Amino acid sequence: MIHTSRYTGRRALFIGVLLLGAALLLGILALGLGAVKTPTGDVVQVLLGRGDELTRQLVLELRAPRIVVALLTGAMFAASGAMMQGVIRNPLASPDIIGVGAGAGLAATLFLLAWPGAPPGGLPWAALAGAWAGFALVLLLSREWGGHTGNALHPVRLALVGVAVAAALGAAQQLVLVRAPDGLGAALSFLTGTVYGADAVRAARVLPWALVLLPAALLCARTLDVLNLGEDLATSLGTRVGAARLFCLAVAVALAGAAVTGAGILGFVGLLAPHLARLLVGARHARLLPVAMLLGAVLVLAADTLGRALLPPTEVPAGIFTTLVGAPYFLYLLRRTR
Amino acid sequence: MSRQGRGAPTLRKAIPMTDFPLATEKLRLGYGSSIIIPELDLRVAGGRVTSIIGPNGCGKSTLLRALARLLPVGSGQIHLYGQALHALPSREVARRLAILPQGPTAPEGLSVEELVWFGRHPHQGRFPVRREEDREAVTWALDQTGMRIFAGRPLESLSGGQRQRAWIAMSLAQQTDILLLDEPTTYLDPSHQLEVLHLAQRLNREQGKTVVMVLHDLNQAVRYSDDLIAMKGGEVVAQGEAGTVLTPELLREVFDLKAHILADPDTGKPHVIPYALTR
Amino acid sequence: MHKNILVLSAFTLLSVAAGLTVGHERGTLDLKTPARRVVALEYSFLDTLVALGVKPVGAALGLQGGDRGAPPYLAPRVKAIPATGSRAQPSLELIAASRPDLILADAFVHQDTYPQLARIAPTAAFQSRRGSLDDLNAQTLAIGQLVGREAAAKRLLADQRALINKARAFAKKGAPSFVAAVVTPRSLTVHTRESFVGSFLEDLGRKNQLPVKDGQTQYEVALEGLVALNPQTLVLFTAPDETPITDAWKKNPLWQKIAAVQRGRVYQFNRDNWTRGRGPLALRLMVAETIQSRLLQDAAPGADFRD
Repeated sequence: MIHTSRYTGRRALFIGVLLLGAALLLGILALGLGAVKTPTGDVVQVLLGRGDELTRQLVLELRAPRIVVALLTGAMFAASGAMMQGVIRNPLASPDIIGVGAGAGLAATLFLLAWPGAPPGGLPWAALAGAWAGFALVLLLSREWGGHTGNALHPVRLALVGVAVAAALGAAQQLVLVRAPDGLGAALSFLTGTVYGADAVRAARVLPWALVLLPAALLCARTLDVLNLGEDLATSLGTRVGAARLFCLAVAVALAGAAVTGAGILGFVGLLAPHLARLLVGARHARLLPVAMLLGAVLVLAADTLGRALLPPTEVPAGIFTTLVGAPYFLYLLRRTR
Repeated sequence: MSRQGRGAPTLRKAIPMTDFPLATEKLRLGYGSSIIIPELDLRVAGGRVTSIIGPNGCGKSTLLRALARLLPVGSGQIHLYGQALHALPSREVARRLAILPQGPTAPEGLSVEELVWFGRHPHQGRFPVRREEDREAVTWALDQTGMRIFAGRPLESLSGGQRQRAWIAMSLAQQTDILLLDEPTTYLDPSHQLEVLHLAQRLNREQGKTVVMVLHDLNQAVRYSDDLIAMKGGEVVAQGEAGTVLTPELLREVFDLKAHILADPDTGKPHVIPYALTR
Repeated sequence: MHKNILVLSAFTLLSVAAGLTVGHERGTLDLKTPARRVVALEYSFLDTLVALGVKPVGAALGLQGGDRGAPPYLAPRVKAIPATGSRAQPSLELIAASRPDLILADAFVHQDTYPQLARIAPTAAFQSRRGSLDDLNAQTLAIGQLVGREAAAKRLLADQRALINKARAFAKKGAPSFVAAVVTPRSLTVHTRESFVGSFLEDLGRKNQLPVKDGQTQYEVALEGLVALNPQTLVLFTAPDETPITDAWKKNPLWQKIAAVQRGRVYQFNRDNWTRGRGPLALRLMVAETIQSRLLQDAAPGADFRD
């Protein structure tokens, strides 16, 4: 009886409820925190539909949309990372490794710096296009040409090509940044990942993606479980491995791409959240995915709230905190997996 | 060169293809430009335990994996009860044929029962609804393999033999007529090896499953199989009833071995005692 | 040359009766009364407001995104102004809390923040960071109109024109062309005729040696590149708290080959004032420094501007 599996459905449900509570609590806390002090009483008044106009503006127009965007993008990055780790069967996989982060980064930099006459509000769309282009490039390069294996996506090759493409795109991005005369600030904060400036419009832009893609990710749970057993077993269980991998990756890339339009490239959320979730509830995706989403949401919201409350009026980008936590963890993982 | 057919039913050409669970026709297999199996016509008899034997690199695992559509076919055809294997939907194949590849791995923390549930995957629809028949199949698979008492245990806490039985239980939960096992005894100690082979034999005897295995140990192959297929250099050298295929000449030709062949005191089947290399 | 000013003036003339209407990069702004509480998100706007005698209720003075803060000439005059975040990331909360009736934003830097700023208060977007001298002069007038001090703005512009004309009188006829460059500890970036400082110095009567290269108004060169350009006059913009890369170059024999070095015509200016300084006060300072440095005269640099 000592050996009973730690990962049970009840445990997952408990952790899920706990995280949901944490997200809710943090969300309410975040409504009251910012560069301008707002007493709890005033915030409650606003939530009850009363309160003075400034507090209403602060809470409802400036803070609430940010909280929504932080929660959504966090959940989306986390879900994306969890799916990629499932498909590539490598715990180090994340949106960054599959060309998404690098593509979005280069596109955003080009858009901001190399196209001075760019229309306002076009940045997220450039990033979205870049995310897909980066992914397409990785996919194209990791295909085995002329081989007999058809279009099976080989996880190891995918990961290696992803790293190489990320490095190449990163270098191109550096080149653009070096030649940039000004406007570096906006590009850099986008590349670090930040929820700064998220308004109702942005929240409304991210929300439909989240509403479609997060449930789609959950629907992929069983396929991911089967893929996780390896190509042979997955085939043996009747899965068309190539198609299943491609579909799951497409959902993952769409998630990351949409999240990038909301908060830039939030580093390591897609790596960290699925990992912690796996430690908490095990590798079954039906439990892993929702818990990872909640963890990602809480992580990004905590990072953004901290960034707003730490050194007001300076806003420390959420991406700095997620990277600060994520990078050492990544190195630790790298050492452990050798 | 090929002595195909020795000891096998004499009228096999007359038997229609649909009666054979697995058959190949001018099958050519390889990786890229290197060809492992140039051309192979093979029929696997239904309701029997068949073991494929041969030296390393003879193509036995390649053949088994191809029969389970884990490998793409170079040219030629594989038939599943007379139907072109690759034309069938993968899910449908998975309801008729299960394979346990070599060295399967599962994510950490997965319990035996959770693993066995994967066997129901080809029977379930888009949504993982657990129907009564699925539950029954899982319980049955756990019972057959004696893994019911370990159902809640994580896979990594089990011994090698128990773990192999858990994997077989997963394949059983697929409820297929055909079960393919790729070197199922590798890395197991002798008692666990026998455990797995007994299980394979029992499944055949009690459930009528067609079992096809790749085995290294010649005596185990003889003892636990009805039919043997001996391969060398990508070709079938001999195929037939286990008791008749193994001869000193075959051992010399296929394995470069000089061996005494004695009658097993239990079964009367041949028992091989190699004593010299012919090389 | 003053086309923008004319356009803006035309707008004002049309709307004398019903409040004021001013065009900007993102549309037009209608104010019933001149703005009293202004938030400035660029140093040039701050400079202009101070010059017009308006004390902003908030300004993007925060240090973030590599911002070195208000230029030294402006810093003492804006000490009492509350900081509402940085130029790269203005604090929307603090801006809202300062209850402005006008926000002045950069058309480029704040292009994505503009909708949110406009929701807090009427917001005018001008090309400050990427603007030319003409653009900035037009903005001085527009800001003057927005805060109800149009006459003062016109006076500032007239003074500025007079000062520039005065400076031109100093410029030596037939003096050789110059190369102007911003120097940091890691790089030297030359500014061409189309850049802000590059064009400004040309306006004062000295010729800029460098045209735009591949569409770049400013670009990096190494020591070898600088020697190849072999400028007769070299204008360097450095920060007093940094060790510019040229200090290392001076130890290289190549440096001595540069004509400007041999002629003793290397001038040094404070880059914090010159590259981030925009607006009437900055221009007044820059013109004065150009004269004091004896750059226009093509004479050996004055004590404060020696390399």
